[in-house]
Amino acid sequence: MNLLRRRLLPAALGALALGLTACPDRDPLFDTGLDTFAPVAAGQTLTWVDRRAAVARTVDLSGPTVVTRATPLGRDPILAVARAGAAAEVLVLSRGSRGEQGVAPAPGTLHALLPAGGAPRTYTVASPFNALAQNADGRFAVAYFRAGAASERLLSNPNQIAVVDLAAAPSERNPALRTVRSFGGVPNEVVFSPPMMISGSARTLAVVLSDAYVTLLDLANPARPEISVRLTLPEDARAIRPTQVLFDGEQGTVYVRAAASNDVYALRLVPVTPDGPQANDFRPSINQLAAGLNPSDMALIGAAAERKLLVVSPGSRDARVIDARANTTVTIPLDAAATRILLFAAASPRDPMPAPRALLYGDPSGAAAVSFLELDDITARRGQNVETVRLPRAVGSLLPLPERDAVMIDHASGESTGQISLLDLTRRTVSPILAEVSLTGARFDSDRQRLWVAPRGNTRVGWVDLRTFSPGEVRLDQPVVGVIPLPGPMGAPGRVVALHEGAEGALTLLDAADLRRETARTVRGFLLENLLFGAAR
Amino acid sequence: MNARTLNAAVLSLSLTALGASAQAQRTSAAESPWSASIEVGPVWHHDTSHTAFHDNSNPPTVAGLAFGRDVAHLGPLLTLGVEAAWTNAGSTATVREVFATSLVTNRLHGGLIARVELWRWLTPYVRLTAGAAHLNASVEGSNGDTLTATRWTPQGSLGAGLLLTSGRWFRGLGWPRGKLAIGVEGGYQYTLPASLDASVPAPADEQAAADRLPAQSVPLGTLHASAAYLRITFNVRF
Repeated sequence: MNLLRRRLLPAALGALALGLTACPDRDPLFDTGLDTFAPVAAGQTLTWVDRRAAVARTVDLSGPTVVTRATPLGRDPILAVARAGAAAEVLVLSRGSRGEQGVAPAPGTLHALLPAGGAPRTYTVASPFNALAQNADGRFAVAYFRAGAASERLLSNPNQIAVVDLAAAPSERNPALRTVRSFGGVPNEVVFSPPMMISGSARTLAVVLSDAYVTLLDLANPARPEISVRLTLPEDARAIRPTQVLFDGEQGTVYVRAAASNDVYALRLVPVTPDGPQANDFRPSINQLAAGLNPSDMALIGAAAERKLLVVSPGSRDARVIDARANTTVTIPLDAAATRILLFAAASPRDPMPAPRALLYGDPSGAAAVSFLELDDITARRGQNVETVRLPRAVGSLLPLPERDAVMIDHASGESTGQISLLDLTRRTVSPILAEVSLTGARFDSDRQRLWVAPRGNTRVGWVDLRTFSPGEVRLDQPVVGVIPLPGPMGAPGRVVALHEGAEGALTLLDAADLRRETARTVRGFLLENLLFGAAR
Repeated sequence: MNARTLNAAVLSLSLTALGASAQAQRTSAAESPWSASIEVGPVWHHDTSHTAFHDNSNPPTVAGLAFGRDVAHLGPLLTLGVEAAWTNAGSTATVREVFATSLVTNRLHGGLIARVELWRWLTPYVRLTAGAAHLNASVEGSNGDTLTATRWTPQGSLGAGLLLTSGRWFRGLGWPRGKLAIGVEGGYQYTLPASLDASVPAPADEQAAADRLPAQSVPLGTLHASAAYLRITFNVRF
């Protein structure tokens, strides 16, 4: 009994002490706010980036059941985009961490998330960049500092950029960090050229747009210095901000339109003999061309040998055809001022043969009209090549349907019906489509067979079959906030994802091959998957 | 607690009573062989999975009921009893500043108690139990929809404690077997880890439920509900 007396009480007290000391701290992630970016579609996946947790949650919709996987990211993700081209990857740019108590400093990173899962490629871009640009085929990306955003570092160089070759594995030389020359400005945007013939070889250029100057980088020769081109004289204090860049690959010319300028700038890339292996083998020759009052859009027209620039200038209510090489401009007065250009090739009421034409639209005064421009022989016939078509209402936005020789016009009138019209580019007729919705947020499916709309707050998603222009809709269980059509595997019919309200993640999956409520299914809470694992997921 | 759980509790209690009635021994302890108790006490979970349902550092509190019967006297001081018990614990939390979470755990178990009557008024004991825990977790989303996950999982516990027993205070009231007791017990309850799959429950209205689109559940992860416990009991022995 004495033994029991000596052992039993200490055992009980020991168990109690164990309990008191074993209670864990609450997982810190549970007390962290939830802040996710809009989902990014890549292949048959949707990826949400949980910014505060620095985790990408990829929802794989390719199988019969929805599968979610989490991928750790670099600290402080700032943006997520789909990789351009066919790679179906998601790129996530993270700013890293300057270090806090208990948190080690971490460099900025660019993660390339693979559609099938697995370890992502991680490119160390080092600096806390806040913007990313890609070229059309997704081979190159440039991380840079967009003007206006705080760097949240003691010192930062806003003209530093990181050029990433996404087709190559991360290495000490990939990404390539460099600082572009500055005339006092910082990058506003980075755009990429298609392959341009320069000195007999195809080059991809990155063009960094800054206030009053542009900077050209030859991505095929990253060790060569950048070329900066001022758009104004040094003593000119105007805020000339480049806003649109067009590339004439065959003629090796870059056209730049800038806000607060009535000129467009043609940069002809002239081959030169380089001074050494690290010198550029071209130099830009700038030509400043008058383009009317407040030019708002431009497009390249004509074959390579006779390439010209078409510019619309609503301030002077005209369109201009500019030949940069001959330094000539032809002015075409318009009945309805236009701000945008849509090029297309189709027949016309007077010409059964498809030919290059342009639709000029977006009258800033609100006039309900668009202009058709016959581009053949435009410099000689000028105003005779213009046909003005009256519309029932002013154009709000326009959705080109080039495969159908038509455009859908969103009049955005604010009325409940009759907001959408179908403009037949061949017959130049306007057919109203009775719609309770706007085209804002409308999405084509991958093979452009349907156009999907999902008015926010409505429990239905609708579509227009672009082969027959017949509309349809499916009733869902919950209000919709967006719709994302996804491609199918190997050319098979894809799926359509309707997104619902809810930070926990909610979607309805529709089968594009059998669009009925009976074939739809829902998933709610996929962003809570493995919640109980917390930060250890 | 749902009907199935209640049925299980009644069945377990009945078995305890039947087993006890077979015993014919009479000792001093057998003069008050039955016991009914209520219990409260904290539990200390040692896995962070539980903190998804628990906001602060104060441990969740358990409350419950137990019924027992002494069934054997293995010597002058050692008494063996059986018991059936139900406990309930609930906790709530906010996760990611958006989601309101809650976890309700109902435990049903049967147990063996070995008491050592060292003194008339102070009785050390050890208790061994086995049973099942019913986990009911819910997460309320940002738009008001609630996902729920329920799961049964086996559990058992081992603990030791002290029972402070009164004299026959009710003799004058014509109830000579009646005694009061207060117990304090510490121990550890092991619960098999349970994977929780959450989904939005079907609407109660049959027509609405039939109209609902098929829904896929979402795995919340594995909940480790094992914990050390402190159990304070208030007993009536008779």
